[in-house]
Amino acid sequence: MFAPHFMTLVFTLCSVNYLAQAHTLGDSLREQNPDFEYVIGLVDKLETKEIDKSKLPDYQLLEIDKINISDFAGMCERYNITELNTAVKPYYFDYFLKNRPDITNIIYFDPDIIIFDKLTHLIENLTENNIVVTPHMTTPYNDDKWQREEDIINTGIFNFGFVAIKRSTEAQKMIIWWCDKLKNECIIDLCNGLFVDQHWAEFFPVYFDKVFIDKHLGNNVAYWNLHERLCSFVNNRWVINGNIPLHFFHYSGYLIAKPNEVSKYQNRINFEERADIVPLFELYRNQLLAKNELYWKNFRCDYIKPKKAQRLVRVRKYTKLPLEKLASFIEKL
Amino acid sequence: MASPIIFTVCSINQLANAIVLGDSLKIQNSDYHFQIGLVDKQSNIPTNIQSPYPIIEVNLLNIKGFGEMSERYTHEELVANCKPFFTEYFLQKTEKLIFIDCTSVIFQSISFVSDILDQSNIILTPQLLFANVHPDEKQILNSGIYHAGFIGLKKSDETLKFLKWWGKNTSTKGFKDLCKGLNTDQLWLEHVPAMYDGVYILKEAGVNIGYWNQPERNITQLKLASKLYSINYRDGQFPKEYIEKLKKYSHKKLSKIKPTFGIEDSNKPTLAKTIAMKIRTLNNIVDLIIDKFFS
Repeated sequence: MFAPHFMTLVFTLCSVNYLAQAHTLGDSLREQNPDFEYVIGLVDKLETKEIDKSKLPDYQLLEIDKINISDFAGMCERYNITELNTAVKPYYFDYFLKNRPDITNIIYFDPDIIIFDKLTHLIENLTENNIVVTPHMTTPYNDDKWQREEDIINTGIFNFGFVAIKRSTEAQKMIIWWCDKLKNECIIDLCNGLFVDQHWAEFFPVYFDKVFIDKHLGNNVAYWNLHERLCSFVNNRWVINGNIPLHFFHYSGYLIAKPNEVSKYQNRINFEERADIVPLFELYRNQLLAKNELYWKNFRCDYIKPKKAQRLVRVRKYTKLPLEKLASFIEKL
Repeated sequence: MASPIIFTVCSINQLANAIVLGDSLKIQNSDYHFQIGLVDKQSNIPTNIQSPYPIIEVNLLNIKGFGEMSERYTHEELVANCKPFFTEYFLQKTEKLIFIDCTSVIFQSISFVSDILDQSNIILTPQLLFANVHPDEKQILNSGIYHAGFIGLKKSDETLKFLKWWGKNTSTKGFKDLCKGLNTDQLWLEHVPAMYDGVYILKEAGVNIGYWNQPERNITQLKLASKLYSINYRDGQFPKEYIEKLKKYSHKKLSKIKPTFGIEDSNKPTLAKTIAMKIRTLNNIVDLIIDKFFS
């Protein structure tokens, strides 16, 4: 049974240019789950920008430089903006675990998600488990479109647009380990097994106890699993495959500037063949516009670094030439 | 009910390893039938070598597209990629099945695996079990959370569904190409807990100990606690006592027999390639120097 005295905190992470998304997520959460606290973790600075305060969403904003990450300067130096945005995820969990003793459950959602239902099912799973993750898909693709089954293997079976933990020794152990990994190795380097925060999390079920792989078809519905999930609007609510309640939809890779594309990261699902999802995306587009997407999207994040240009390219090439020639010669022996 | 079958898959060049595995099993797992799946021509086994265990030749399975697989995959890839098909074959003969890499040695009864199969369809063995112990966890992550050298299976619709899917992928996309998320039969296992029901993750430190998890396993302690079940010498150094056992079955002679199926591995590191790689690594100091002093 759902125990209402357990406090639940939900957070997301974004920069100022994604505040329309975070706002939309917050409103959908509040509508369905008013008893959950919501925090927007901001990987950005507010005071450096001239912001029309009346447009700010009415939610707690927690800037990244306020959560005491031990080597934050080093991480900013090492990481580009995508890497930094994903690397700080466990650090926010850590912050909430340490600073909010009143909170039992902590749930992370990517900002480009809408909650469609009460998250009772999820909270029930957390009473039995320490960590809940959602897989990208629960059945094979049976085609060779992008992304393929091996692409998912390369980047992570579980999608980390969602993860939930219950305050427990095991979850704490997980967060400490995840922070440790993401301090230096939250990069995209597929040949060496690295894909930001997500691929590391493949270890969760083997390293930690009571990690629940939640295969409910209403969770984390997105382009990566629409091949097995048909959406419809029945009796005033969205359902999957006719009778499974839609819990949350993930609009990963959808751009308001390209309203005819489901996602920039794939070519399996399109609106022509999937009329069922068109209203879900229309709904999202309208929500974003109402939350001032066109205003927010132009703000530049303070943590974007200028691209490093390699200097003295020719000098490098000619200095290396003799040894490179030797290497090619030996290789052919 | 038929007794559980334990099987391995190899070419003739590893037949001695397979027989030693069978011998090690026999000591404390006498209720099991041990069988060898051979990705090779049985007729190429020298006549003076007799396997004490039944050998099933790959041709007997009539794998769809085996000809193309044989032309596409290296010897090593091919052996791994035939595993789903041998699994399907043996599941026709038994309710419970365990696959063990031919380079393994069993030290005590593994009947607990059979007990777990009462409640599950598929048993997977993680490569690592303990966070933050292995010095380079990402390299293990890259090759697979689960190791394909120790797998338990129960005959069920779910298991057969899994085998059809696994076999489809190993017959068409069974290359070793980590940059693309491919590692013969092994990396496909990542999907299994999410895609199939009744998947059991075997977190037993004494099972399938190999070079990949040695930093986190204490063999002496496991032995003292009677929890040392199996060691897998795959891709590692063979210890002296293991070599002694292999000698009994003409390992040296057998290991030189070229497999009939599959192609040569063109990426195999040769001495020349290794030296060239070292020179290039050395040459990259140029970048470091320029970055340090001129930027």
